[in-house]
Amino acid sequence: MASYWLLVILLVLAAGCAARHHTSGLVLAVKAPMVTISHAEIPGKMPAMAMDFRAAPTELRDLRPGSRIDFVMSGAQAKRIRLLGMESDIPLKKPAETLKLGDEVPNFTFTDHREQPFQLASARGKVVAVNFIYTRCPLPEVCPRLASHFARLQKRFAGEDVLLLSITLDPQYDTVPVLDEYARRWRADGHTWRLLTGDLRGVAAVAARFGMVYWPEQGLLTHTSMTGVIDQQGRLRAIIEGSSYQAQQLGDLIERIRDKR
Amino acid sequence: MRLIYLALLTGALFAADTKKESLGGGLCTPPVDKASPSLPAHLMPEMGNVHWAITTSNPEAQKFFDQGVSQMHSFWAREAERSFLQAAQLDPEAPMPWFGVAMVAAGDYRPQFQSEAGVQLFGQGINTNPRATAAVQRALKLAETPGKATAVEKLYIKAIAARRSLKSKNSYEEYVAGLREVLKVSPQEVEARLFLALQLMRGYVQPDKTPRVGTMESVAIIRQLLKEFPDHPGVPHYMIHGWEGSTFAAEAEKPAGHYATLAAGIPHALHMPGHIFSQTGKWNEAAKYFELCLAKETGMMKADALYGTGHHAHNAHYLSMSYSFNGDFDRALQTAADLYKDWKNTPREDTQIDAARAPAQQAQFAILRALVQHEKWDQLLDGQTVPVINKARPRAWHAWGMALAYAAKGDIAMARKQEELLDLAAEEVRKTTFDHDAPELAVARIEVRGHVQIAEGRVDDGMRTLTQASDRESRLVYSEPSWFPRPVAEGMGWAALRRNRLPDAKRAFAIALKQYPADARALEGMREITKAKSASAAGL
Repeated sequence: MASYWLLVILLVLAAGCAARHHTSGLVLAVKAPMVTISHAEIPGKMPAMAMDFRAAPTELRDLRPGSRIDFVMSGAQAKRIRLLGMESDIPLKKPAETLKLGDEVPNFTFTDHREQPFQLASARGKVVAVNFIYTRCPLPEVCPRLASHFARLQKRFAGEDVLLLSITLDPQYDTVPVLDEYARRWRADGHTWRLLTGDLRGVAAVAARFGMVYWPEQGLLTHTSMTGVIDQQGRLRAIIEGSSYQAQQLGDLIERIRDKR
Repeated sequence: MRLIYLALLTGALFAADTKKESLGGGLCTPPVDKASPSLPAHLMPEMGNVHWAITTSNPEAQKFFDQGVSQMHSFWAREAERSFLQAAQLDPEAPMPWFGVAMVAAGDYRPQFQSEAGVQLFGQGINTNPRATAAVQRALKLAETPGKATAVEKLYIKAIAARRSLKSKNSYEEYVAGLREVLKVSPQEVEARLFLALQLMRGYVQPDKTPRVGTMESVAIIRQLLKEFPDHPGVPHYMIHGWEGSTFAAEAEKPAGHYATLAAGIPHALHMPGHIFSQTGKWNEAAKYFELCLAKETGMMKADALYGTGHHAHNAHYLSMSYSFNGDFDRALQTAADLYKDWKNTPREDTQIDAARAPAQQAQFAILRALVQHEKWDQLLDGQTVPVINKARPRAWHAWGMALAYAAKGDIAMARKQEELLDLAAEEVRKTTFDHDAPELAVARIEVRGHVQIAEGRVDDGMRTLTQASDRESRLVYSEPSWFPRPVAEGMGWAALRRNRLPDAKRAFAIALKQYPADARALEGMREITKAKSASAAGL
């Protein structure tokens, strides 16, 4: 009997001693009570990776694929999950046209940086990640960061059924030659990663579907950052708000959506 | 309602405290960008012909540096900074391109009186940003390399380093001293003389137009430069700024017109002559330059979404004012209405507490000016012509216009109601913005009281009150377009004329004409007085 209680005590102590790490991550999938998170590196302990965690259903209520969170990793459990808001001084309404997860993304037609026409409908069968940038963006943490993510991911998904699309928010300036030059700078291959431009209205309509809010100001475009992931059937599966996620996390999300086929 | 938030608005880039909003395009000078402009820069036509030989091994870098200096002299901060950055990229070892960035990137490359008015009116200085300070450090570092900077260049860099120093107790004085040091070593330096003139330019005290300390030295420098370098774009440009608000503005008319030809590719150069011609009562000429600027600038804005509305709103407002003072009500109203319709405020401007320089606010103010100046009371009260902007300052001006309209129509109860709304809104301005005194709204309040008194039949009291309002108005800080929509004395003149108080009317119109030479409505009033006198003499 004594040994039984000793075992219980040891188990309780072991559970209490399970390593706890405060970290951040990107939600890849939610199926209560489980959540799949692509989490950041835990220095000296664990590399960045995608893992399944158990969590209390109340903690999972507001999560969806693409949610950026911070949380406490306690063994295989995710606790104290907190949705990361974005720094801001301007509250804005999302456009009424914003798609919901699961909605079919309407077709659009633009021109890519190699002056080739592009239709979203032609990408059926592929997982498509879409972000919005403009080449004159002076803020390294915003458009250049998003471009850098796609530059990395085009290598990860080279030759696979994955397509990365960067649509310019500044099509007046970002003409085909300007995008081509930008594509050279980032070594966009033109196959896995294509940079698109079109007319102002067309761009605005597509941007609104992904929940983008933007406007020109003195010398820059002020804009939200949304990265959408569309599945092989053309349905919106995830939206990541902001630009401070990791390329690897977006890659994990794409992979998850692709492999869920 | 679900709200989303802007990812890029970091504390470093935009202050979160909406009270501390930037001056935007305030006080005429186009605003500096919030972030460093992207490259590449291009050599652009009609920027002004300036050559300032610097230490560089790259002739292309010299070209971009020269272009940057030209653009800086026309206060086009964004393109000047871009040109300097391009020069720096072409010759990474040259310190002077970074000197250029340090000069323009802070947003204070403008007449000193504008900077001081900014503090007085908005409770803060002009925008500053860390990239100007960083540029100084780069210039200082590069200048240490032997052979990379002349002794004079090092003095220029030292001067701007003093201006940008965070440790300095009086960076203004130290910058001025630094420029004087340049001129001690090299007295003929055109650029140092221009920089010094701009920095000493502290304007004139109203209502007597007495020069402030430094102003006349600035005037003397520019007069001499005009003899030596009449085709340098900075010379006539600074002459306009140095002469506006003075008793001798007419002296700048010819150089002002010349300036528009020297840098015709820059909207501000097309705009600026209007400042002088509106001072001298040549409203047609003023409107001509504002129209030229409007055509050029709207073309640029339509071609490039990132051009920004900061300068355009000021120019369109001033154009509307010129039409109004020239007696052309229709065009005054149309120009202001177009500004409101065509160039919306950004969401940021809409969330700021004041944003007095945003397009919608300037348009509303110009619309009210036209309606009140031309006594279009029915239009003012129709609920459609004047845009409703739910911020304290626009509400105050709206109530001012409505109160005057009701008073003119004899509806005293409604006029008093608007008077109360004006009081409430003015109090809100004082409490929630840096305009703690809101002196122009205090004048508005007194003016309304005067017109209500007259409407009540207390004409003597009303005239006394309006005289008091007019006197206070004449002491407001100089600003173009004027902080007060139209001269109080002009409205007082018409009120007196309608009650057949011809001497009072004549005195009032004379005050208005002194404030605004060739003010069409005051001239019209004077003609009416003559007619009334003739009729009286004829026993009609």
